[in-house]
Amino acid sequence: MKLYDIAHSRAGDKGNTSTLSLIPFKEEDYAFLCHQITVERVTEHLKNIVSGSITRYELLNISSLLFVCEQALLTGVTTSPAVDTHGKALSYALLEMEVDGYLKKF
Amino acid sequence: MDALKSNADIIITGRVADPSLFLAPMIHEFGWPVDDYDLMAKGTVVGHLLECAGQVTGGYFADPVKKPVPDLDTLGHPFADIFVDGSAIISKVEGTGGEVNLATAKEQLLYEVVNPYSYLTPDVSADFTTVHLEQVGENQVKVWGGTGKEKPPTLKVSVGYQAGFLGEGEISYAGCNALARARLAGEIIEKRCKGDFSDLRIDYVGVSSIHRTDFDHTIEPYEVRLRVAANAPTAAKAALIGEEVEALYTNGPAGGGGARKYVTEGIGIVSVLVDRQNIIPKVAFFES
Repeated sequence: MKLYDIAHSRAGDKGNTSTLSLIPFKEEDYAFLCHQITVERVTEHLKNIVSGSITRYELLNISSLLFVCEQALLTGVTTSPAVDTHGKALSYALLEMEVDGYLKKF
Repeated sequence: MDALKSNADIIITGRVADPSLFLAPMIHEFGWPVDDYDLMAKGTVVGHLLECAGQVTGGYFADPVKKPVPDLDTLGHPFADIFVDGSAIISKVEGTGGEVNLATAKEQLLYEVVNPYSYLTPDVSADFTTVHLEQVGENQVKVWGGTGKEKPPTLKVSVGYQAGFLGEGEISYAGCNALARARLAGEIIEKRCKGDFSDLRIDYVGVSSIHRTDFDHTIEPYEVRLRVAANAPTAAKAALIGEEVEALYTNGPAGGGGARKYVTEGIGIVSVLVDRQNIIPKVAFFES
């Protein structure tokens, strides 16, 4: 199972930093995401993309997580040689992450 | 604010923070004190949700499998009904494409947020973690909460500088062994160019562009476009990238087609902070 199956994400950019939200389709899955989608796991998953540190924020009121990833954009939108200079497609890079231990409730 | 007080029909600004464009009319209409930072934060939250065109009405959101959105070709941009206490209902014009729901609102609320406890604009330091969202009707999301602290003592300035040139070259391969041929081309380019360009990129792209149809769905991938890119200090050096890729027509793998080459001047942007005491806005009026 991938994060894509239980959550959605939007990417933003500020300088060389990529901001990736992680929002469960069902609010009751927020606790699962908080427990399983740690900074360590996201850092490992994005290791070929993000060179700097990753900070995780929890927004309880809207049952959402935010990962702020530094040195993610090959210097930033104005000078990056990448196809996706803003990193707008990186939301789906995060959603490729495999998740374990998710039990669907019926 | 002076411009709004003048009853001008059209107000044009320089580069301003996106949410501020929405906050100013709220201050003008409701008479909010600009040092009531909770109100400044609430207005900033509404402005942040409304910014970036269709991003809260289903744009930069639609996924045909997981979160389908109807009629993106007639996507409606959002509007907000804002109340004097700073709460608002986000919606869009009836009959337009798109959708406003909790999921679109959450994605836009967190968009480009580096620190949700302190979202900085020239007007306020806003805390987004205290924001609440609720779906109150079809294509209607209510937003309230949001608290604020004093605006920063500095203003962010974007400074442009000459950043050299980006050279790019592309060429495509399709059918049997397309990826192998594209990788071979990539290896040739890497051997010839790596020593001269510090940030050389070799990328592989594509689905169905080269044959303008497709024949064999078992070949994976059916087509691949090799894309090479690198930055260089001069246009002439950047142009070498495209020329090297174009040379693959005659000197590279079989069946390479559709070569393109590009040189783009680079304007880099860095952000610096300046003391806001040093910035004095001026307003000029024109009549026709």
